[in-house]
Amino acid sequence: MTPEATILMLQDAPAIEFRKVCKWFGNFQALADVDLKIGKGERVVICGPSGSGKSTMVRCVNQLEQHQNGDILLNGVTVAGNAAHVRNIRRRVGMVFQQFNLYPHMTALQNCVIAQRLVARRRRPEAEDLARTYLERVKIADKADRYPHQLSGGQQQRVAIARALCMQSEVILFDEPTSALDPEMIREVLDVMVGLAQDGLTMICVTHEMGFARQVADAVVFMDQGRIVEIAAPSDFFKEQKTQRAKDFLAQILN
Amino acid sequence: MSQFTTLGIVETILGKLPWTLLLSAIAFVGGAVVAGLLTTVAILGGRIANASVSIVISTVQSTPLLMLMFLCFFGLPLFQMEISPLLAASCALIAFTAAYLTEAWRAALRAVHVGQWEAALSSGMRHDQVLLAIILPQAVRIAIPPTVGFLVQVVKATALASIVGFMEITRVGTVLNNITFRPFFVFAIIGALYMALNLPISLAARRLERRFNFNR
Repeated sequence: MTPEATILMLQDAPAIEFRKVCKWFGNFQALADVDLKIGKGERVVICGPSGSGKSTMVRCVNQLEQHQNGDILLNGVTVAGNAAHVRNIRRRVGMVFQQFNLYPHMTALQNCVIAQRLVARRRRPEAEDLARTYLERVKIADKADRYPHQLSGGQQQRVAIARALCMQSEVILFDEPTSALDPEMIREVLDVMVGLAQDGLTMICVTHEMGFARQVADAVVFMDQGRIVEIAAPSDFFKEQKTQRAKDFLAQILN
Repeated sequence: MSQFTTLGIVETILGKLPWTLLLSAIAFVGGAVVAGLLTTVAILGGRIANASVSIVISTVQSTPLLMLMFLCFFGLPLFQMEISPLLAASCALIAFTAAYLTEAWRAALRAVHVGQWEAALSSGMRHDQVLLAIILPQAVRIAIPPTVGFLVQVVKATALASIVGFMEITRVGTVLNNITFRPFFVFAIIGALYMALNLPISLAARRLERRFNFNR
């Protein structure tokens, strides 16, 4: 195959592809034959009861968890490999956590700068400019010099989103980004995420925020017991669920 | 035999205070250096190294400090090593300090939330970068109060060096008591000296604890 053909193939490859991915924690099977394709610029919302494997699935993409069977491809390239390969993958995949995980000994700005310096090897002025740009984007530029404990939960999560954006990744994974937030702060974080979605960012988002799913998702994935039970466009998924489990789940979280 | 006036007793005790301070300093600095090495080995050396460090620590910690003193003072000469009371006491106290500090520091590194590792690793940082830039600064903050607090224990523990004949304030107190038969006076002064040394350290430890408690 010519190099041009390879590049063309890679351009056509989905941003993320799961192929028969299996994962066990001891005897417990967390993921069972997960198959999923996510195109560039697509937003996928993953929902399901707790323990259904949503977080595990997302954490396998950047290899915070290692799957044992099957394959996960980022732009056609497998994510598994030696430490250097995994670091390279992680550099191209951002992640936002439920508990924010901001570095408490650094200001918001420093939180956004550190990986740019150490991983992307950007010079300080360039890294700080970019950090301020993204802090602006999540509407928190005025708090750049605050430490995490001086910020509300919603503000911390927006800084965490800016920190992920600073690496200019191809994909950003959101692992229940609003689950640890007080209700009045969920809106400000979701607003930022809606903005990112409208700008064409490829997003995989584990969330129970069905309003968000309805508003921006290209597909809703419903998981149960480590399996993908349903994949549908949000309009279809919310109109009618094919399985009883999805019906029960929605009934539970919507009331 | 000379007669000691009250002032003479106080002066004689104060004259030995530098030795208590010196021994405390040797024990603390030496113990910290050894603990630094052991912590590094335990954290970076893999499972076997970590287990070996644990065994060394628990061996030292389950032995009374007095036995460590005796072992150093009477044991090391068996290997043809000339040993002075100062050297024996230093070895024992360094082992004692290193064991405690290694435990405290290793625990501090582990006490940093696993989410910090995940956030840093997921941005593509190398293991050593995460350790140095993200984990260590937080672990140091966690470790400072217990470390400073342990300095109090070290100062008090130097009193045991008197048993191998090292002439610090407790030893000189025993001698003065034998000469003057004024135990209450002699040991009250020595007790007050230890307190004068340790109270500021305790207060500092408490302040540091408040100051570095920045996570919520």
